[in-house]
Amino acid sequence: MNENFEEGPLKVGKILKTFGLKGEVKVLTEFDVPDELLEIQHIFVELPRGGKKYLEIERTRSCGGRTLIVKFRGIDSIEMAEALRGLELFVKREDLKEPAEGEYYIFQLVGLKVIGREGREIGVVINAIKNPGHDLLEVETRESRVFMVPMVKEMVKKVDLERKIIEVELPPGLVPEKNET
Amino acid sequence: MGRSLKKGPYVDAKLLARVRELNKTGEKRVIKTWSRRSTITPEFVGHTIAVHNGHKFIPVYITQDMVGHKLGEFSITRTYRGHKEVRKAAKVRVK
Repeated sequence: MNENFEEGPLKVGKILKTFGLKGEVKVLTEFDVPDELLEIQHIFVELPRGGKKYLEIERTRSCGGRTLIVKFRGIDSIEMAEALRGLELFVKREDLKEPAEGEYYIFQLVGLKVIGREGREIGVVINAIKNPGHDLLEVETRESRVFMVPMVKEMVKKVDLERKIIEVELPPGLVPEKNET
Repeated sequence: MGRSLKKGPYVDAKLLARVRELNKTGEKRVIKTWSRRSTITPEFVGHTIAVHNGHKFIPVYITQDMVGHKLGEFSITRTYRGHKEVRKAAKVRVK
């Protein structure tokens, strides 16, 4: 696997197990709405012996939560499906669908500068975390202090992917003080 | 068995006092709390409460639809760190 996360393929799901006898598999997707997997073309798996195998989705059925029952074209028996068990599904970044307004892929946000109200740089985004209620941005300051910013409109005012900045308006007490751990 | 209606929802007294104090002054300062069992009341809406998850404080911006839930529901205690999120096609949203 390519270790360069700025360029390498992205994981969109994992084949958990076979389902039935006709080549269907159960897939755990990375999407909150699992049907988004259908909108992606050129899905591939990395084979254990090396090399890629491109798969084409023939049909899917919902299976609750983030899981789907998927039938790939050309995989018609449980024996063929068994060979896919445990493999992760990848996609090239350029094949990903543009996210909806206000939505961002985590890789788009990592590395963005966080700018405060007065134009002062607060830190750099090191991760984004899915959380009940609202998602969170994990930000590291120059002094290597890490804190979280709730991803709500009241705090995250603007995300500019071209300029690679996020403008925020934070309440007092959110950014840790120098003597805080 | 549910809590008696006569008692009303449980909210940590110290936390409630702090929220009321901020409401009086109109200030929006982050309040740190360990009280995960406190119920979110309408007075909390618009405030940011840093709820301890046993390891660190998770900031929770309180919105109207959180009223009636407990603070701990929004500060998860277990995070699976098996795979780097950045290598997944996972999305986050500004609400």
